[in-house]
Amino acid sequence: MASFFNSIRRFWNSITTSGVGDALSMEQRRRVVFLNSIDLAGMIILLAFSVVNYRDSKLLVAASLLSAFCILLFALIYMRIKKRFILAGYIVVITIFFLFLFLLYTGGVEKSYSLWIQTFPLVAIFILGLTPGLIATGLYFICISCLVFIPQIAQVEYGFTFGVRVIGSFILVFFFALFYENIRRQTQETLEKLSADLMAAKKQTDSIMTNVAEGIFLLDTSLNIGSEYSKELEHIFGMKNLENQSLLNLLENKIDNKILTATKDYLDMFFKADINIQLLEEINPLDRVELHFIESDFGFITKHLEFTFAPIIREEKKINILATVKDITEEVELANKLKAQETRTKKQMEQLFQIINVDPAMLNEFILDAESELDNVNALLKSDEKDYTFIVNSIYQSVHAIKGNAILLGLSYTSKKLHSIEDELSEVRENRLSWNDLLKFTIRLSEIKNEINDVKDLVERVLTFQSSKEIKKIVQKDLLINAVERTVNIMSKERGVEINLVTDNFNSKAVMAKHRKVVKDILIQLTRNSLSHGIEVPEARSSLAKEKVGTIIISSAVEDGKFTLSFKDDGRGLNAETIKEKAKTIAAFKNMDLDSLPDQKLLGLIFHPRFSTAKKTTLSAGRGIGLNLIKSTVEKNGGSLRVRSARGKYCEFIITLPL
Amino acid sequence: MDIKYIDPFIQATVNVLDEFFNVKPEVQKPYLLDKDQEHQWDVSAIIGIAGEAKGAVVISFPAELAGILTSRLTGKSVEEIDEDVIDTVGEVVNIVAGNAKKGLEEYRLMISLPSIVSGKNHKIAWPGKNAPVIAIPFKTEFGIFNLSVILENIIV
Amino acid sequence: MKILVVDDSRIMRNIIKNTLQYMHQKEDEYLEAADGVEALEILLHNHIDLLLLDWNMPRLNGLELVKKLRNIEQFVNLPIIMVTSEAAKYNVIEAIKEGVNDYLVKPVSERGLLSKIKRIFPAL
Repeated sequence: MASFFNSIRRFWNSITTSGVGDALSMEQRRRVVFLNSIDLAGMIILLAFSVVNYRDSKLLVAASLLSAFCILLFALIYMRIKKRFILAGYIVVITIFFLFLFLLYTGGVEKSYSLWIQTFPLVAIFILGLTPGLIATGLYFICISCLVFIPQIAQVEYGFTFGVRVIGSFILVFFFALFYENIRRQTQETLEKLSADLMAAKKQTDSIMTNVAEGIFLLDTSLNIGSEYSKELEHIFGMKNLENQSLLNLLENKIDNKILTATKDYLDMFFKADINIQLLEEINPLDRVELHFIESDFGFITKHLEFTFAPIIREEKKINILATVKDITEEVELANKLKAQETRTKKQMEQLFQIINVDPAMLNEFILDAESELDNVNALLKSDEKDYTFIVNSIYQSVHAIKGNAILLGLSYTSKKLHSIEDELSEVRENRLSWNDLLKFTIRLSEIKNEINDVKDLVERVLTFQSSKEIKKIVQKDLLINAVERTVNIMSKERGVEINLVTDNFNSKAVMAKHRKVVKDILIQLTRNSLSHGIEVPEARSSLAKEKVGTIIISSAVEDGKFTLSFKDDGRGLNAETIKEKAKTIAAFKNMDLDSLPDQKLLGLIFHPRFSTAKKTTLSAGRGIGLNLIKSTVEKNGGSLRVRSARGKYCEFIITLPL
Repeated sequence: MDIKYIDPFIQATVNVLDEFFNVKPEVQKPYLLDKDQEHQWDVSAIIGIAGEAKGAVVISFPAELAGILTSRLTGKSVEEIDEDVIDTVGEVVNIVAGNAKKGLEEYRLMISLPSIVSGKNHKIAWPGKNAPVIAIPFKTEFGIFNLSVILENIIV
Repeated sequence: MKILVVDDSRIMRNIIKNTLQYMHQKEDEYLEAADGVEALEILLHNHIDLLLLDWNMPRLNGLELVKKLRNIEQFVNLPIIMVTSEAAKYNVIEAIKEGVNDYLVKPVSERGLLSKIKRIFPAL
């Protein structure tokens, strides 16, 4: 049933819109539809009445009705094909004009045909428009007046009273039609003008909203985004269709939760009365905010945005918030980069000043040594070694060694950093070690690696300034002695002692390549010990009838397939008593019966990891692992270590290594 | 880099493998990873991290272990690294990331969706130029897998 | 005008008092309290026109005191300025949500103090 009516409706629609083209304005289209409707309606009525009249044997009337019907049909078809509705309109109006006159002329049953004439002004004016309609109606009026008032013209006698009434009602309808059409026309014009103005204004607004470089939007009392907002807002959030979205939902999971809650409270404040606008501006939690957008594939996009908010007040009530948001990611990242660069540069300058004074070959050696230390420790971590204490000790020793070398070269920035890591390691060595500690120190190792890489970078850059000739001059043998010389130079100033270093009998070529580092570490450690504990200050030496200048003799020999190294200083020597007293204070020796030990054994205690007679920890001394390290390293390499000493006179270390 | 950022990942990894696969990983000693060196892993999942610290967490599996985990989930035996395996690894890492997220919330860290790379000696795009990588191996009855972390503190 | 300065540090209270006096130079009365409980006492027994409140105090901190005060009818409209050492916005917003009128960041500058007071008492 419904589809039947639907198809009728569609049929009706298609007929009444015959002749409607896109080029026509609203007004014209309405006209056309009206015309078609009248046409169709008229056709149906004419046909019906034609048949009725034919049945009643009023053949003339029937024929005229039928012919009118045909003309209207023709007009409709013409409209549909040719789309010339103006012409069609005229055809219809003229047809109706003559038809109605004819009807009036014939009078019909009890002069009832005269009723039809009332409809003419409406039809004429609506189809033809105001002016032509008026003219047609005027003509029509003259004709019908003649027909009605002048006797003998029409077939029927209308009489005066009847005639007046007919004409009178005609005039009434006419004026109504006139007024109505006029008003309608005016309204139409105003509407069209307003529409045009509105369109022009909207075009401008759209232009602004599409091109402005900020996101602009409105928030209602539920903090939802309004339907009109600038395009940039979509770019910033990477989403379309933002209208009616909650701003808080958009920000959730992209910003810090604390800031999100603060934002909700803040925006709610806008809708409450009496909060100072200046204050609101000051406490905007989103005036600079970092957002993290999760990307579908690996990674984040981080944006920095700047929001501003202002209340919109109408009739004393705050109804909306006007919000703007600007993407300031570029500026912020640039500023961060500059700051980071500044910090890095400062650090590099410091290091550079330190490095510039050092021979690049020595720096290279430092770097190689440091890297090898780190590799050794890393290998230990990768291995199956289960003893955490042992591992942490190894890390400690490596850090200590690298630090020592750094100090030697005067790289105070690096050595300070290593010293603080040493401190950390030291604190933990006593207690039970957990896996977390191991992780912590692995992280420290990575930081050290970074440091060494930084130094490496700097060295590479410095190298380009130094001529390569100088590098060739430095040969391996000098490096070993050089290291000792540097240590002596630095520490003798620190300690206020004077040293005469004798190395004539030391043949560094005899040192096997694989022992090079071991020997170097030993020499440096012994030198440090000597200058820290051994050699007295000049005044003290004088009072002991010694030369003011202390002497350190380093010599070597090769025999029986063994390499022997001797390090002798003429300082305080080792004091068995002092060693014994010190040992008594150290927890590690608690279980030993120290009083019964012979002197030689007591002297041997100095190689114990926990043993140190220095009063406090400085960069250079006091950690108590140096000699222990030497002993273990030597023994690991298949060698041996002895000490000979006379209290107050000298101390000599003798190391042998297999060749 | 701070332990507090790494810990949630370790906890999550152990939990996930234990609960879902009944595999009990034992954490081994951490060490420094050489980014350029050849590695023995067959499939890796990379989780990006941003916020107070920036970097990534990478979980790498050898083929055998990945295969066994997959077969425990799908019920079928696995011959090679196929789509099922990639999916499984992706799932595992997703859940690990999800669990770790809770522990990281208070540190203002956010994690991205994981991405998977596979193949012999596949290349991992480590973010950050010089930042060092800490490798944390885990031993299981079916093989060793790796949790690597690279993190740069933004707020020092 | 009677002004109540609440801060657990005596030095801080003196500084604020001196700053106020320097700026205002009228016959204002300045009262002090070292914590929220004392402050409440003083408020109940005096007619206070302005409250300068430190945020982090023992016993009853700034936030709790403000919540209490705004629940008491007589103090619903009492002008309160929070004085805080950290200017994290979410803290300030929380405070204002509970009814604080304005805020100041330590160290308190004369200009800052004056501008906030002017905001609350434009007639001055």
